[in-house]
Order: sequence, then C-alpha cells, then structure tokens
Amino acid sequence: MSQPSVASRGLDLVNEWYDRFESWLLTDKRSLYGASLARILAGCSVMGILITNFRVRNLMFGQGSVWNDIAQKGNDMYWPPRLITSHLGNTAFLFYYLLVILLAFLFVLGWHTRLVGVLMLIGHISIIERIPILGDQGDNILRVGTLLLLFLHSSEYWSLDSKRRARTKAEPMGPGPGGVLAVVKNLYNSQRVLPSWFTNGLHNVVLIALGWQLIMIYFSAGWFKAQGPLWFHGTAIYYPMQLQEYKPFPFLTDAMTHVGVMVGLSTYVAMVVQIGFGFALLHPIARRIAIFCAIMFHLSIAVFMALPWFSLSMIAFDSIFVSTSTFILFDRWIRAKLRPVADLFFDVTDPIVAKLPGRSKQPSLVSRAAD
Amino acid sequence: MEELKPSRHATPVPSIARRLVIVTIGVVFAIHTALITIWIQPANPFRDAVGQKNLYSYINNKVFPFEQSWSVFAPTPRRGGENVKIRAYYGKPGDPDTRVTEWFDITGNEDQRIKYLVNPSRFHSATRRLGGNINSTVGQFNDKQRLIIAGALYTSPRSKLADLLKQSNTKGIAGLQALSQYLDNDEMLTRYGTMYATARWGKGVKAVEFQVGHRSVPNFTKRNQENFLDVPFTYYRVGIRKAIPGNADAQAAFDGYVPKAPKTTKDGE
Repeated sequence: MSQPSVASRGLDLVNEWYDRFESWLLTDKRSLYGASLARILAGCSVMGILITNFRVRNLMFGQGSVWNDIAQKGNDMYWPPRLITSHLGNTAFLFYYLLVILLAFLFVLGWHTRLVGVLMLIGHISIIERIPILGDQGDNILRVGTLLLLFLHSSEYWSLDSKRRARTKAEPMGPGPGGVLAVVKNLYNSQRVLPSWFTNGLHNVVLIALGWQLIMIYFSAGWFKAQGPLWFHGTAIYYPMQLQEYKPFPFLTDAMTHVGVMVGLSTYVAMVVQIGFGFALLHPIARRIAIFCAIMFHLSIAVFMALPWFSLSMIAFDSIFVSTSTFILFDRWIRAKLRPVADLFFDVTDPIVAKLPGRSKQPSLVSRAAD
Repeated sequence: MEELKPSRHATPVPSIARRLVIVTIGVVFAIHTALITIWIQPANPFRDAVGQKNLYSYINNKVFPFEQSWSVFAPTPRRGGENVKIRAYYGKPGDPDTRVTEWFDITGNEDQRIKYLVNPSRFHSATRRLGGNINSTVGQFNDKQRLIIAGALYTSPRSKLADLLKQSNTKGIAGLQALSQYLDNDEMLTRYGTMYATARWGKGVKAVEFQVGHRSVPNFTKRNQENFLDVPFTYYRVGIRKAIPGNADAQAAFDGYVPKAPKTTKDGE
C-alpha cells in the first residue's frame, strides 16, 4: 500500500483545520463567560470614571467645560455631546449624569443588557467627549470595545437577563400581530428572537474582531516602544513614573525605581509582553502566562500610575481570551466560597421575593450550583 | 479536565446560503479590522496604499469614530513636568489704580489634590495638559514669536495675536500648525484662567496673566542623587490676556472647586 503524498497530507490538514474553524465559527457561541465578565468590568469602568469625576462633573463635562470650547468645536466627530449634553444646565446635567451611572450599573447587572448597553454607550460618549482636551486612550478602548461587546451575547452568565430567561419560556413567533407581540415578549424576557445559526456566527465574528483589536493594541504599543532608545536600554518606565500625575504613592515608586534591576525588568517585561501577546495566544500554556502578565501589567499601571479605569477596561476586554474551562473552575470556586454568605442573603430575601406578584420561589444560584 | 458541554445555543453547521450570510458579516468586520490595524501601526506602506485621507475619514467618521493611538509613552516616554501659574488684574493693566493679585500656582494645587489618590479626577491634569501643549508649541517658536506671546493682548482682538504670530512664522506649514495649536491652547488657558481667577479672588477680573513652566526628570543614572521635585521650572511668559468669562453655571462650577484666596493675603502688589 502506497503512502499518501506530502501534498495530499497537506490538503487533508488544510481540510481538517477548515472544518474545525467552520465548526468553531458556526455551531455555537464562544467565550460566553469571557463576554459576560467583559460586560461586568466594562460597566464598572464606565461607573468608575463617572463616579471618580462626580465632584468635578460640571467642570469636566458640564457648563464649566466651556473653557475647552474651542477643542469641542474642532472635534465634530461626536454627535451625542452636541445633541444631548451641551445645552444642559448644572441641575439638568446632574440628573443626566446620575442616569448614565444608573445605566452603567444596570449594564453590570445584565438587566436588558443590549438596550441598556446602547443607552449607556451613548450616554457615556455624550459626557466623556465634552472634554476632548483631557481625553485619553482609556476612553478610546472603552468606547470601541463596548461597541463590539454590544454585538456579543454578554448576558449568558452573571446577569439578571439570564435569571429572567430561566424563569420564563420563549413564546412561539408566528406571522401576524400575535407574532409581533411574541417577539416583543421574547425580547423583554431575553429569550431567543433571531435564529441561533445567525447569532452564533455574528457573535463569533465580532469576538474575533474584538480579540484582534486587543492583539493589535498590544502589538502596536510594544512596537512603538521597541523603536525608542530608552525602552531599548531598559530605563523608559523610570521617567513617566517620576511625574506627579503618575506618582500617587511616592514611597512605592521610589522604592521601585531605586533598584535599577527592577526598572530594567519592568521595562523589558512590559515591552516583551505587549509585542508577544498575540503570538502567546497560540499556545495554551503561553496563553495563560500572557494573560496573567497582561493582568499584572494593568494592575501595576492602576496602582503605580493612578490609571485604574484604563487598566480595568483593558482587563475587561482581555477576559475574552480566558478559556471557558478556567471560568467554570473559577465559577465553582467562588460559589463555594460565597455559599455561606449567599445562603444567609437568600434566606432573608427569598421569602420577600416569593411574595412579589408573578414570582414563584426560586432556589438561590449558590444552592443550585452546589446541588 | 472534563469535556466542555455545548451551550444552549449549539446548532449544526448551517446551510451554504446561511453560511454566506455569516461570511458577508465576516468580510465587513475583516475590512474594518484591517483598517484599524493599519491605522494604529507606525507609518507603513499599507497606509499609503489605502490612502491617508481615506483611512482618516473612516477612522474619524462622524457617527462613531474608531480613533485610537497606542504610542503611549513611546518611542520616547514623557520625561517632563509642567506648571502653570496665574495672576489676575482687576482693572485695565498698566493703570495705577488696577489691583494685581499675587501669582498662584494652579498645578501645584492640583499636585496636592492628587497625592495618595489611586483614582484621581482627570480634571487635575487640566493645566498640566494645557501647559504641556503650550510648552511644546512655544518650543518651536522663534525669539520674535516668543516676544509676541509674552506681550499684552488686552485692547486688541485675539485675531491680532494670530496675525502677528503668522507674520513672524519662518517654518512654513509646520510653523503654521504649531501656532494654530498654540492659539487654541492660549484661548483655552485664558478661559480657564478667567473663571479660576474669579473663583479665587472674586468677581471683576479684567485680565489674566500666566507663567507656563517646564522641568525635566533627572537622568536615570542620577535618580538616587537628584530629586525631580527639586528641579526648578523654566518658565515661558504668556502675557496679559483679556478675560473671557463663562456663564453663571460655568462660574458656579469653578466656584465650587477653586480654593479661595485667604482674606489676610495682600493681593494688591
């Protein structure tokens, strides 16, 4: 019996890879846990930015921001600030600001996630883009990432939508007015409205787009760094860390920069992780190391350089790279740890919830997971 | 590790027609992603092939811009600090009866507010950002242009400053871009300063004047001998500018933020 030729084996391999990719892309939604965590953390970032700036909201985004009027006029890319916030007085703006914080909170909870997500994104842009002179890259990744997140199915886990979905049944959607009503009911109950083959494909395509966006962010950030002599010589991070806006805890920064090796190590690790992030995703072990390093990198930026919301946004979207099996292990672990607290909570709340109109008593999530 | 079960969304591989729909969506996102990739990388032949103008108009579209730049702290990280000081004129500058306040270090005040804060408001970077923009443009100006910006602009319209700077431009289009950026930041600083001064020293501010400073972080090799905070600022003088007040709501916002001048301070120097 003759051996298959190299070309034939090559074609078989291509066919096998194509089938695997087609199956990955079309037969199920991928990284549902990651998308759910990304939703929670992105919503937390929006809330964090708005709450952090609450006391200076009028100076930053309200009428007081008139001092950067010329930058706003030169920035005619964004319609939400012009249409919504530019005419609000201080009192009206306060209510609007609180409303957007509430929307972000509901997005974190996963309450009518898509609708709330769209409104939150418009609200966030309408506020943040009132001050282009003080904008940063954290705003950009949060805006672009959240837009892509809205195409993903991000309410599958850890959301009120998933609880409502579990409580209700999908209405059959036929033609005529009854069908329209069923669509509305299904939308309200977070039941399926569009066919799974379509939403699976859309979800996975956008997941790839978001993943690629993040890989390119890391790669280009590392690539730019590799061109700089200070990065090349391993001293680059010392310089910005001396500036007061990036030095919230002087003793911490000074302790770190005092040791030259620490500066060199941090500089090179930052550059290497960024350039290599995309390549590391190709191997399961390297992927875990890269994600761990990326999270540590962002946590360091958050604490050492006082940039928590940028860091949280990046960690949020990075979570799509964490595997489902890791999330399941984490989910079980956290539920087991939280069980005593959650049982106490549900012991108190379940009798109240059971008395609400139209509700039947639901076992708590923790109890169900433990069963 | 246990086998992962399919989710409730699992379906068989769809028909060719349905697959074509997904492929179409995929192509749209692939084009989008390719354009983003080209945009955020350093200048490259792909950008030339697409066309800088086409790429810019897609990335900075007016409905939902995808603007982003990841050359943060690279290739050269930021290694300089900025400082803005202000004083206000209550009356026509130069008149003997005009009260002139003492200089107040706005950025120094912001520094105090952000110390030990892991989540500082971005507003505390306002004068740092404006001062940095002014420093970077003034650094490109010639001596004559620096003299012009240090001069007073009280009775003449702001367009006069633009005209004088343009007449003295010796660097062609690059020079014009720098002075356009300077003029924008000069106006923003004047607006900011007017409301800030009113909140600090009271109503009736007729003009404001600034000093915009810059200092560099000591070299890495001297990090354990020299302290960045001990490095003196080198100041550019931004001359007297006619006040540009905001409306009542805008001023109220500044009133709630700015530290009031102590009553014992003798401002009329």
